[in-house]
Amino acid sequence: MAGKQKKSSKLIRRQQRAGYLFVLPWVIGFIIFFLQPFLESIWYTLNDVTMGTGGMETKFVGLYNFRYLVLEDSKFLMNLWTVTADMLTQVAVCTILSLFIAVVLVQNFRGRTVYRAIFFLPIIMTSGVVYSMVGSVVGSLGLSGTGNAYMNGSSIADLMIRGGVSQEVIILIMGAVDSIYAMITNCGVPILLYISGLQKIPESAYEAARIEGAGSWDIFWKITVPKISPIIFLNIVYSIVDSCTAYGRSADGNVMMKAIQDMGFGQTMKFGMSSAMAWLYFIVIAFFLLLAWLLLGRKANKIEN
Amino acid sequence: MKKETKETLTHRLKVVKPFRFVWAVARQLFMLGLAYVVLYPVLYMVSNAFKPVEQYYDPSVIWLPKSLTLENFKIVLLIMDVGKMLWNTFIIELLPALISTVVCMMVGYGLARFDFKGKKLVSAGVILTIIVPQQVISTSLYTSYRYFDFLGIIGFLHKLTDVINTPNLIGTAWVTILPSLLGVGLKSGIFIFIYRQFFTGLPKELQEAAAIDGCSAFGTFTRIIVPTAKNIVISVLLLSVVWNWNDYYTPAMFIRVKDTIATALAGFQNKLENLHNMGTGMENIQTANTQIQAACLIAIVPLIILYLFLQKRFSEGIENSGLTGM
Repeated sequence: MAGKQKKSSKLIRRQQRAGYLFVLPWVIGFIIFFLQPFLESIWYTLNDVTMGTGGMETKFVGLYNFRYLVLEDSKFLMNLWTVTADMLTQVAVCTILSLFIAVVLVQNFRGRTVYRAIFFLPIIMTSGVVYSMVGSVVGSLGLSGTGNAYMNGSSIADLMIRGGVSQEVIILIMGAVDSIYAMITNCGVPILLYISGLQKIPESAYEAARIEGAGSWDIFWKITVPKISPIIFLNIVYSIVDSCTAYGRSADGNVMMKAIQDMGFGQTMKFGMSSAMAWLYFIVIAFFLLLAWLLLGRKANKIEN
Repeated sequence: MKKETKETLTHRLKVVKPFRFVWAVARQLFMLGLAYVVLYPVLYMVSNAFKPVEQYYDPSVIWLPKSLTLENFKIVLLIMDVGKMLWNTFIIELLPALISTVVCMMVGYGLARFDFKGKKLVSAGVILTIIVPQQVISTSLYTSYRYFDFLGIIGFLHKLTDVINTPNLIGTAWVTILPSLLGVGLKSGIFIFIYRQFFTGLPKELQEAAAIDGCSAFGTFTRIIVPTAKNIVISVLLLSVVWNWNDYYTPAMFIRVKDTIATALAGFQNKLENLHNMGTGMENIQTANTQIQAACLIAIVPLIILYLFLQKRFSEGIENSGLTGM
């Protein structure tokens, strides 16, 4: 008995050691490439930081950076509002639209494998410069356009004008069509996750509900949604995080990221101010992540266990 | 009783059938519409890249060019040093993508299958790396790379030898290779999370049986665990390659001097316009979107080919990832 216990404690120690070995590289990397810069950036927010010969030189200014940004910089709060609104739109649209698309894609119909393959394309396209180069064409000229300079953005609009549709309605429709492109390009990963989650719901659950006489609408809300609520949460987190990495997409990119970049490595070279901006932005993101966790994540976790 | 339900069922089916047909048609239309939206940029690229410049301005040519040309690609090759750019992309982006795929697998396995003190702390750290935007840490990171001092060791060695210089990593591929070697490369947090979820779902007996047979922890990992993880590895690999290949921020911020596909593409339009304005004998070439689209096509075709090859295993991998419940 005693021997057995000794053996098991030895096993536990061996387990511990093996575990440490597996995560050790990460721990070192985390300290050098994340934790240290992360903590340093907090310090930077309280300083006037300039680039010196042997590294950054700091001069303590207290909360000046924050006070300036919130009270005096008229652009900062506006940018913060814009990116937050954009983020919330992206989260709402992505969560709902992707779910809808995924629900359709798991149904049995002709061409669904082809469609599934096509809906992965946004993942390849959106994370890159290509998006901004093609996207700007699509965005400014309208999806309604064709591959021709003169015809772009006019074909469908022309048809509608000839059909006697009023100008306002056309502008509205064109705007909607263009924003569909922007929205759907963000939906690649969420669709993927939803599809795989939907496929895990056993057919028997649906059958039982159908025998009980539940309609498709009830089945969707009472079976599908609760079962995939962990994925809904996962997608919300993904969309929140994704919305703030959109830097590099030029015109329709994340204005806050651009402003942070310009403040630091642009002409002003105010690294302390730029860090303060980044931190205020991060706090907003963290707030919404926390909110998502409190509203959905905890519950989703409980269901899973 | 049984008969009754059967009757009501057939009755309901009769009502449902016309609705079903409408739904089937609506579904096809909806999917076709969305597929058009998604495919539009690719169609646009292909249509323009092979089109002679004049036809781009010819209102009678819409999607299908009257004649095909490779002229656009020739101009792209003239302006961009594609060979060198591909080599840079390989070293700066693809190599780290491969390294990440392997290193994150080890970290994810360690988190999923071993109990050790501080495990929760490590998991929390991984989540933190996912949610903190790169821009928050990049100012400080820039100095770390500029005066690179590995945990103070390099500085210490230099003090011993009386040289104050610490290596400057800015402008070298080390800024992507080193972090990915240590599991904190581009989006590594997401990959570790994916692997962790997958390995948590594997039966524990696999690992225990191997341990009883006297297999070391690392031996178990390479010989027994890795082969079961083929599809998930492919999923992570594909995402890692795509995200790294497309990454603009890191090379633009920390490397600058070497063009990868993403940064070269971002600067392509300017270069094209500059060449026209500087009188380099290229004035007779019309600057046009067709050339830009050709460049975009060059940048994206490798990824599409890769995806077509890995597509089946990729979706299987994601489905069995444990991300979406077991």
